[in-house]
Amino acid sequence: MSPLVETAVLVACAAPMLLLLVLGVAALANRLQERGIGALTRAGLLVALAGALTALVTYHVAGQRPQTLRYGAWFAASEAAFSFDLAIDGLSLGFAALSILICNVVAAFSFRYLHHEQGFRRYFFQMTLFVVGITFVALAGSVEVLFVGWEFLGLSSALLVGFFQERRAPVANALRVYAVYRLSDAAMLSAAVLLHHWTGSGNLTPLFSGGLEHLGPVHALVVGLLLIVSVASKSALWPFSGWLPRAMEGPTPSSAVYYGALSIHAGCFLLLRVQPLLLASTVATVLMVIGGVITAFYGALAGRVQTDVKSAISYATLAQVGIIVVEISCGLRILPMLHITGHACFRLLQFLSAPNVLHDLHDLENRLGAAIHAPERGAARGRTSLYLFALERGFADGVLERVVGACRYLVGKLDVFDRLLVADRSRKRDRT
Amino acid sequence: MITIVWLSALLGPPLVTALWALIDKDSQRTRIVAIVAAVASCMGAVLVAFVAEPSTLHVASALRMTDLSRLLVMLPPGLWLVTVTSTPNARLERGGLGRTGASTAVGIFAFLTASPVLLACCWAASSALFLRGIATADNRRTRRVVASYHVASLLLLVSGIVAMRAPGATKQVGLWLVIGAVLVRKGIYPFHAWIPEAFDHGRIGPTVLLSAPQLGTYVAAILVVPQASPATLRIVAILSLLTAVYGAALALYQSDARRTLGYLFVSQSALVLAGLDCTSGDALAGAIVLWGSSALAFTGIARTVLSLEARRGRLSLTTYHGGFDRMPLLAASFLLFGLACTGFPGTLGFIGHELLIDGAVRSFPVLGFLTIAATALTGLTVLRMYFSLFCGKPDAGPRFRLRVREAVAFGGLAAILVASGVVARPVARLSERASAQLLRGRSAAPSGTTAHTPRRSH
Repeated sequence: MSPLVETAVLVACAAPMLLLLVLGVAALANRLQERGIGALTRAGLLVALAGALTALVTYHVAGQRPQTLRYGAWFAASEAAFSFDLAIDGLSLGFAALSILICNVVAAFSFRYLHHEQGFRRYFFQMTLFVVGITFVALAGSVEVLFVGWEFLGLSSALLVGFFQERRAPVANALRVYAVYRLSDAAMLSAAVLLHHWTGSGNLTPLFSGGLEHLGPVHALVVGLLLIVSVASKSALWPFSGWLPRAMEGPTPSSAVYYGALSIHAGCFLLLRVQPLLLASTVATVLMVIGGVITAFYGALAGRVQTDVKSAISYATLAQVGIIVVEISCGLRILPMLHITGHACFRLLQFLSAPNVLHDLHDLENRLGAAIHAPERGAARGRTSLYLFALERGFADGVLERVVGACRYLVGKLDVFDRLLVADRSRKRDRT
Repeated sequence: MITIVWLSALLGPPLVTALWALIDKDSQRTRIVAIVAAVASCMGAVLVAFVAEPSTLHVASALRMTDLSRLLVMLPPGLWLVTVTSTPNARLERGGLGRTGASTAVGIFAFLTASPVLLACCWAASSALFLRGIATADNRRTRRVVASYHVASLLLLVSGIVAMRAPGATKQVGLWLVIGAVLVRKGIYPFHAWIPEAFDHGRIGPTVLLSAPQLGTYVAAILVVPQASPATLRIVAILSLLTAVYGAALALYQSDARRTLGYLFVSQSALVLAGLDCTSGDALAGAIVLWGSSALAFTGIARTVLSLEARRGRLSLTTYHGGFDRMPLLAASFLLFGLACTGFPGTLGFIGHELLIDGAVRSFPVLGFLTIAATALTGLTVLRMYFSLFCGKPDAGPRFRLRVREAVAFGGLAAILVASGVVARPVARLSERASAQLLRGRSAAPSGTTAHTPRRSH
């Protein structure tokens, strides 16, 4: 491996981490003003972008072969070693460069969009946490690095959904989003532990390259299914799509980068990485096809009845994500990556320009003196029920709420029993 | 001679503070003495942990420096320092400061001894200090409930220790009695109800200082792990794993910050015991790291709630209290403590959880996944608490600010959790050595309690 590629990859990873540390300390010390945060973020992200692009270009120009950079064990115990490995190949470097480029664009947009906003410092800290996370997901060569990145994505996403924390709705929705993300994290952690358990190491290279001799067919299926659940909940694939409109409570730039461009595609990228593992099992492949097709139809339907522009765009994104999943399950490699790249850039543009489009529309309506409506279509058989289905987002939220309600009832009974054990009647008193 | 010097460095500062609190009536001055003494005690503990030779602290089984002791001996002084630094003025009380010193001395000594009799004495002393600490005029029922659990656990421990000295079947009965004592003290299901009760109606400060160092776990490590058969340990581990999920689920359900704390502690403490009883090297090492990280992180969470309560009164989790903008450091520290409890990457908890989960799944291929379920639920609880306690519309009341000493305590604790989580190798190495020593102790155990070889499924 060329030393230039190694150094450039290291720079691409280290710059956001350093930026995260500096912004974190500065935010707590309450020292940096907007201009300082802007300068630091620009510098940090541009250095990271330079590193990622240099690595990508050098890798392709020099015609190098995929390799894993090993930085040794992060920590180790008697039987397990948790290694810090980065995978270097066209796919990982391409997605890393795309991610950091998009983050640069969004950061530049956010400086103006969030000017004088109360949570300015907080926003850029959480945004940088996301950059670190997505870089780790893109370059992960070991399951530990992947899990770290995955967790960073989830936490930063939930915190940014609740960015306008003085209002009740964003905070409540952030918790709901995080609940689904915890499911995703738990599935990812289970997959990581099983991988460790069955292969004896957390190295992802065999999974990426199809060398699965250490993993039997049943083991491969279990790991594959866990990864599918993890990806489905993080990328809002059906039946985990209910959180998507709730996540729109965050500021527009964060919605753009998470639910338009990167986070929602991170799952697709991961599926693409572990494609050999998934395609080795018919059950996993069929599940992916079904999930992708349903998600595509569901996203297209639900997107058509949304009343706010961000939700409409996010559902349109979801429809495309479903199609990308189908492409991956068909064994394609280049087309899904191209689809991810083009679609991420397009949705980013749509999200970021949405406030301007709305502003222009309102301006136009003011000048015309009347509201501009979309042309109405005539009633058709079945259209009402379809409309209701789309409006209720496939009734998935209702089903989920019923399940959670049943669990809550059960846990409530256990709580009552616990209070009885210590003769605590305070709850009864509270009610009366 | 050198033994006395080391012991003085460790036990002198807390005991001096306890005596000072009896003499001086000024609680603010006593706090300053306590802070200075806690810093001295922390430095002494670090020196003992990294410099002292095991032979210099060795008096038969009464005083024994093991690799586990090296790690644990730093815990009580650290928790004491956080406690005396972060206690709000409204909750400051001379007697309380004295009791924190005495509890710390008891905790340090307990972690340095392997003598069952001395352990039972430490057990009784810490329970007595705790019961005295939670006593207020309006919680007699709570004191009665907590006292009954503590007396029961002490009786079980004492009778177990006596029975374990006898040969044959009586020894096995004794072992089960000690296990019973540990289960009651640690709040493992179905003996858990006193912990949420103590947090709910008792006083948070003494409850945390008693619970966080987890003397019950140490007794299990010294008296149970080397002696028990693999089957016995499996039963305890499974019970602990179920308790971890149970506690995490109940914590998520609660609508009151104090009860949530109680169940959160039940879950965390059960995870540590589960790791200890899995007897795979990884799970043991993970449990030891988790022991330290959960003690620090949980103390941080509880002290944060206490600081907020001192300013706002009792905290409900059904509303949003606001206040992030006034106390961003406290909010960020709270989130970090909570994330450390959930094993978030970059914190000390991550190392503990990763090793524990890996080892637990190795020992229990199906039930081991309960650790992941517990972790996922704890993560939700933590974020729910964070949103409720720090987000929402700022109230119109007085604009509270964090005091400098509180900022130093919370910021320092958060920094330690992050630093030891990022530079993870030294902690992992120390805990691995401690776990290897524990496993060697099992191998050297008398026949009939053969060491458990970790199973691998492939």
